[in-house]
Amino acid sequence: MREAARVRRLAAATVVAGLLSGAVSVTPPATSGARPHAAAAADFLAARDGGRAADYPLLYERSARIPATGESVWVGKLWDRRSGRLEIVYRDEAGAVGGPELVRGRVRAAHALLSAFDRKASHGLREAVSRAAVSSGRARPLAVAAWLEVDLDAAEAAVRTAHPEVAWIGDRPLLNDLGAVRRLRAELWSARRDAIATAALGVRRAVERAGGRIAYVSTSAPIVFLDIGPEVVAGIAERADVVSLGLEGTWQPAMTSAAPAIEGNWTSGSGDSGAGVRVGVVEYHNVRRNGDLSGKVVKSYSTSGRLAFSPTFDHPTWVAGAIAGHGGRWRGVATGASIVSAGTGGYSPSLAYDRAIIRATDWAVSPGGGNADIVNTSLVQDTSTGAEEARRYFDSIVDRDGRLAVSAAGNYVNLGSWAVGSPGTGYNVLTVGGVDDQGTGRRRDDRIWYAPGSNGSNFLDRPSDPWNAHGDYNKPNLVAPAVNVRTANGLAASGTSVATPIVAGVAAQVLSNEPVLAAWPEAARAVLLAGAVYRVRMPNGSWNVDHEGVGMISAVWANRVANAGDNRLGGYRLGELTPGDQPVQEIAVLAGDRLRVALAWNSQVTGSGNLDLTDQLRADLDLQVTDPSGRVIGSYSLDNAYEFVEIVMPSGGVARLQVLQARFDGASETYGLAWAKVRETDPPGIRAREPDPDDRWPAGRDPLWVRFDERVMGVSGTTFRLRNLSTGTRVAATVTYQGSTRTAFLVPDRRIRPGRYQLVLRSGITDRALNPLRTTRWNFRVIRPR
Amino acid sequence: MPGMARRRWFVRSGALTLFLLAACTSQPPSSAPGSVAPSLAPITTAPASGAPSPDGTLASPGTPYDATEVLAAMRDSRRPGGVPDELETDAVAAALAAALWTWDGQQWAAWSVGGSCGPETCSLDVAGSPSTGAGTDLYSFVVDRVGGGVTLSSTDLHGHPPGLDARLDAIARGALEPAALDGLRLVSGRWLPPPDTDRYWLAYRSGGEEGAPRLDVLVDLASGEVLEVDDGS
Repeated sequence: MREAARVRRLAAATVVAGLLSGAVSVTPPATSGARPHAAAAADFLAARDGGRAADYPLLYERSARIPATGESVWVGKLWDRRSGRLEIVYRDEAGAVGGPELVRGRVRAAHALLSAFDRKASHGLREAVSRAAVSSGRARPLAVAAWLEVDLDAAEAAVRTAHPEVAWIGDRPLLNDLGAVRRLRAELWSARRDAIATAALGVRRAVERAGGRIAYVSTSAPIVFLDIGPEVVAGIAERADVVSLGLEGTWQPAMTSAAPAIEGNWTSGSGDSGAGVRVGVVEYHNVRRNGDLSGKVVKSYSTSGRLAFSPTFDHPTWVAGAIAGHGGRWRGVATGASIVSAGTGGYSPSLAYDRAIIRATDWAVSPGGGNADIVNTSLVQDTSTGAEEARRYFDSIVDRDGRLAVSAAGNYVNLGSWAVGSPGTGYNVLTVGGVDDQGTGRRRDDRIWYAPGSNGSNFLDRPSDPWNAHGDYNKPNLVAPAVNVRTANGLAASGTSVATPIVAGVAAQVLSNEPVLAAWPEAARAVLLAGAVYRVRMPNGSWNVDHEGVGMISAVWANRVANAGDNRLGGYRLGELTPGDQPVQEIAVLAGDRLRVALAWNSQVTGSGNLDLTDQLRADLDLQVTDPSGRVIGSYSLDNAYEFVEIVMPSGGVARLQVLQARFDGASETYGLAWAKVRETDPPGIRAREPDPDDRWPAGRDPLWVRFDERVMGVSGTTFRLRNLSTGTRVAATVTYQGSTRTAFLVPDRRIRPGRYQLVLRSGITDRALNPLRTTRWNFRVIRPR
Repeated sequence: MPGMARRRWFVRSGALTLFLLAACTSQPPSSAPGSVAPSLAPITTAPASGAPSPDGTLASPGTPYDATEVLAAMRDSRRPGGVPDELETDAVAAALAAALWTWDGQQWAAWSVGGSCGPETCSLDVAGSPSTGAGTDLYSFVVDRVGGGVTLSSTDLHGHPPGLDARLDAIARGALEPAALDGLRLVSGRWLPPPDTDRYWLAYRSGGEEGAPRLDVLVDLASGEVLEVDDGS
């Protein structure tokens, strides 16, 4: 195990920062037999796929567990040197070795022993039914969420067939026009809604026959809400068209108490305003349309049929203000964006259940409703009871509806727990943690918002969650300012509630500048991850990706990245993978670039064979970056729908980014790959020089010199010149540059005569990030030496 | 809960007892590690965890890990950078092992260790879950890089049987005036390690907007009393 740890650290040590994972599911499996795990895995692959064991070096390993059985297993990712492919190998405590089929077989065998009810119902629901069975008196109906088997692929395929004029990649249109994206999105939405409604009819009849009722059928995801007696649940579970059943959960706003008003440092202040982009703000109450949000709230809706505004702290307006507040001092990040406000009619226990939140979100994304491009949820749900319908629903609106979902990690005081709250636990959701920027614009004093005993941003990925079976699931994805943030109409408070719309506002900028991403949420997610370039320390000064994710969002960098192809400071690509595809992107880098690369794809909520009671990652993609020197750095997590690598380029040249498939169970996957080349953008400057402007310079006192404030390139007789102003002629001279002292020297070929002269530095001189020096001229007088 | 102002409320069933959340220091004998039940086992009405009390509600805490197991867990961490090397010592592992209580003295079904180091101190987080459906226990430690001292900085323990919360809720609602919890819902309960066995902090929230009431209530399950309340003011 010690050797294994060393291997893992060697890999990690070369990565400046990487995804991954916080927590490792430890319960280390005992080493079975004499063979170490890695050797046994290599032997297995050599026997299965050919070659020698030495052809399969270990790249990544961990202890894991099989959720359905609780078994501990070892899992490794091994590299096939011959084919360049990654292979996943498991080994159980008895020494049995196999690929992913080993685990799938164990899960199937465990499920085969269970009734449909025990197999399909969540722990919380099974417990509620159990309690009802032993209680006296007539049991009250249970609020149950049922996921249905619906062939959404077929519904969408008909729409794609009807639009041969559109370029499609997989199930996503390739249109760089927001209006066109929305028109197609509406057709796809209608097709899915109809398919879901048809599928719900069968369940409706069964439920009504049993004396229950269908309370709500989602228009966006194949989920229905039932009010049924506990005695009916097992019968509903027997239905083949019911994939899983869960007990509805309740919600909390992800915010804390108000705090003194100080200005945050997050407003972009640039021309990037998110113009034309619609951001859905899902809350209990509605966003007010006055003051700093006048003209910004273009549509409002309440599931109760009547708009409701907060009688106390105006949480929805505070949240929306961080996105689109446009007045006075407290401007939002994307003042050109529009807000669509979806509420549940206020807060009460009956209005805070899944069905109300999901109904409000259904409206927010529906073409006739909010038609939002981005959905912001500054709400969290208690996940400790296993209530996970919302997590799955929000994953669905990303994967199926093509919307970017941005959610809060949650705050400690909301639920009295450090666990990340749903839907922020979703694979496809961009989850935002909090930063305390100390009320200053300096980044040096920024710290992760973490104050045990008081409050802070949630960070814990529970080792027992089914989506964290290998223990490397990592949320939040990124962070933004959360403490004492004042937004529209002077509203101020602290919480990840406000960090979330800050990121949603940056996302609005990105979608406005690059509309094709409005139909590619996985690519937008990759862009925002790559663009979160500012690293933030913990209060004790350490770096901790469990709390921080990949870094703090930067509007400037996210927009630099959001340019298709390889550009000076970054770029992105999107596409579809089919089994075996391992695309490579080559990019130009400079020495010293801090290269950040993010890969994102989605989980799916539909499809048969889902035994996890949650949505599934049908692909395990990995990411490798090869720098110009040939060094390879990878990100190989097992439980995430993204991978991330950050490394400093040791030399300039071409870096190679490759997407790898470690597991690919479906027919295709859409993905986004984005990269930021973080480098200085300030031009080089002059730190010292002789002669200075207007100096009297003794003839023969050579050399003339200029010291720059950083290393530069391009110093030559062309870019560093001496001119005789009396004659108007250039003085022949030899120009040299000394990198260690950042100094350029000019020695005239012959002693210059007294008179007026001019030195010129031209913009052909650049720093190593290719930022050009501003052309600079200054005059001086040459005098006779004393 | 340092730094939080406390406000007393009238309690029906007896006088309030001042309680301080203390980092656990006493170290009773460890319980023997137990086997882990499959997480998808059908639900029954019997206690899930084999707690020794007759009705399965009283805790039987123990420290089920030894230093060797904790050290192996730290070395096995796959976090970026893992647990910092300098923390992977017998002394740190022993200090952690002595402080890692579980509600029933059994080992967690799954657990994780992670950490990071700043200039003066390091942090170590240990999270464990007894089984699906139960909550997660989180222990946070601070390690002094110079002196090597290990301090338990905070606990956030939810790894008790989930069904227990309903009973604790009933105790709280029975003990407090109805108005105290009016409109508030129990969102989580935290168990406390020895020497505060069978005491729980219950978090009541309204789910409402800013300024809406919230209340944390300390309940002693063994005596059925409310010991303290905190409205966060």
